[in-house]
Amino acid sequence: MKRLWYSEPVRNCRRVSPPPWPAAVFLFFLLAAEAFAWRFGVAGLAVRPPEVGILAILVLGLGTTFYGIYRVFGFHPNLRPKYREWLRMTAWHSPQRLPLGPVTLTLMDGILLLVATALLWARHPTIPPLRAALIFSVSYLLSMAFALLTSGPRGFGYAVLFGIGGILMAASDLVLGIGIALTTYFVAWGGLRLALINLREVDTKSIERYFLRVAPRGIRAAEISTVFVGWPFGYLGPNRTLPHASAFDVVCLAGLAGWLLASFRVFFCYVVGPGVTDEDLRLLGCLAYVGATMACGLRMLVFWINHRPPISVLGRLATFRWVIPSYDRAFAAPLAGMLVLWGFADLVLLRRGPPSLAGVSLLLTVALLVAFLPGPSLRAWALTSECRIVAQKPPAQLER
Amino acid sequence: MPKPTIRVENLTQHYGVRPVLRDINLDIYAGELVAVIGPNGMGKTTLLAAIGGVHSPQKGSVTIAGLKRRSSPAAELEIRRKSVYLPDTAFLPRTMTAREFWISVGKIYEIDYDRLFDHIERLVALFELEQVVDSPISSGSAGQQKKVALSAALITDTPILLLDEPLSGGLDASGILALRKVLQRLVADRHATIVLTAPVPELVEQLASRVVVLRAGSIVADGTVEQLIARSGRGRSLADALELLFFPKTADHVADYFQDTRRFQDTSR
Repeated sequence: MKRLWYSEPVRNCRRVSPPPWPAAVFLFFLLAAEAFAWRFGVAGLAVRPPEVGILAILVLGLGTTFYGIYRVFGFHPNLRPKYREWLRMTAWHSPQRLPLGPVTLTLMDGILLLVATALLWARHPTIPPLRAALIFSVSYLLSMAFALLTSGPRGFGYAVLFGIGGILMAASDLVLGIGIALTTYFVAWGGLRLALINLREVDTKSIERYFLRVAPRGIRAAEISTVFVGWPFGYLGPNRTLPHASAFDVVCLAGLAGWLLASFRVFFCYVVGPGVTDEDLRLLGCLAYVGATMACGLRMLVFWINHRPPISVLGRLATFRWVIPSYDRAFAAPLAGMLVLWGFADLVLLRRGPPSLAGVSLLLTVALLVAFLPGPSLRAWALTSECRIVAQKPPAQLER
Repeated sequence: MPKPTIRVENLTQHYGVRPVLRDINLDIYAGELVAVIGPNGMGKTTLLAAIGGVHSPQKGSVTIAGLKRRSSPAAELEIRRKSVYLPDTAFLPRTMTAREFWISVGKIYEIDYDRLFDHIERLVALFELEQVVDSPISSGSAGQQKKVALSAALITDTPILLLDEPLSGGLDASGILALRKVLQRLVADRHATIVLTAPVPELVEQLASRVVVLRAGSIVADGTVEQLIARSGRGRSLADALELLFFPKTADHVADYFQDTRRFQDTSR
């Protein structure tokens, strides 16, 4: 018995089981919701309407979602910086087991999902019982994607997000949905393996952040931000932090925007049922149009906010410098993106007949690619263009 | 002839239609402490900002340590590592303490931590900031905040300092004295290049090794304090020399003012 208790699968089960307090709170709310359903369904009314059970389904869905998030955020070293730095200082290396418990799925996850599925099946027979597993997989995979995108390898993070789109798209076919979820899980697992292998690479700056360089008064020098340093040091210093997205990121994000739009539309159709009309799709297309236009505007704003033209509009007109190539080139791509949107809107949204979902998704992806893929990068442009650097002075935060 | 540390060539700057600076040419060498003086609105701050990389000139160029400003990302970054620009009004992070602020500035300029912590202690003693160094910056007076901003510029350890009106802005007498001595020592001991602006000549007479006088966006005089006094013929101080050479109407304006006042007083009686 003792050997079984300390065996690897059982130890893993114990380590990944939900913490007692959140579990108790979840059970309390679930029991309360079930009691509510029983009181009004059985004792209060002659016939139990399906709506009274919705609260219990909601609690079960929320519990499953939070458990999926907990399974990644509670155990992934890259999402717990102090845990990661401690691991780096020890002799631990991949593929050894993580001391606080695995991020990958264990027997305990299977047991808990089985319980959730059984509950769903027994208490709410109208709901497909595998829905609990699907909700868990989406929240778990989203958390994995977050970890992969923030600490690498980013390519796997994007692949997982594409997989989540696939799960949503296959919502009407549970078996296909579970199949895509499993495939996406293996992609996330591969990314996790690589991330854990790279964890051993010693990054002295990162270690320093948590253990070394304590200035007088106990100030951890490495933890002090260099972003909000004000004017002029935060703007004219050699190590200025500026937002940057690589071409790979732009291509993946633009593709994801189109793909997820289509996925959510299909999922929405499945949830709402036959009530969805073509006009709803036109509305979705309009929202995508507005969103993409705002993204183009945002790119221009990010460039313009601290980097103004060297001369005023009047000065440009008077000195016949109507175009200042080194400055104005930053705004060419987003303006082109807006033009693409304008042109495609006629073809996709304003034509007679129902708009096509593929057309709307493509419109979004192409516009984002046109707006964000061409250069210049903000960093290179800010350092070399004929811009006039201006500081932003938030009223309360930065002021002398 | 050594190469200039800062070279300004044919610099013309304007925001709208009216030029603020017109065809400025200026060579500044290592070990020089140059004071740019002149009346308000004549382009002192704009010149310093153009040298400091805040403005991009409409015509001409600024070269620092042999590298042309904004010619390439690598050149611009190298210039930023070698020079620091401090405007008259700096927006400091109000909620940070002075010590935290200086550490973050030191990190931006990649200063070694041991050197940084030691430098902070010396600056605290120099400007008598013991009471406020570990309090939020906003809790200090205007003069103390000016000292914090000046200390941040010194923290960077760059060999080129571009300081816009460093001696004004609420600095007390001991602060002015300390800053003057520090700037003089930086030039003498470390061969630093310092360009500063000042609205009044009295503040820079004992400090600057060279004075550049700006008027209506152009350089009207450039030389040592002694050269400018000698050029005036009758002046005994830099202020006298500048009045005789470049602002001769000021005395007339003052006389006119009091003449009008006397007339008013006569009528009222």
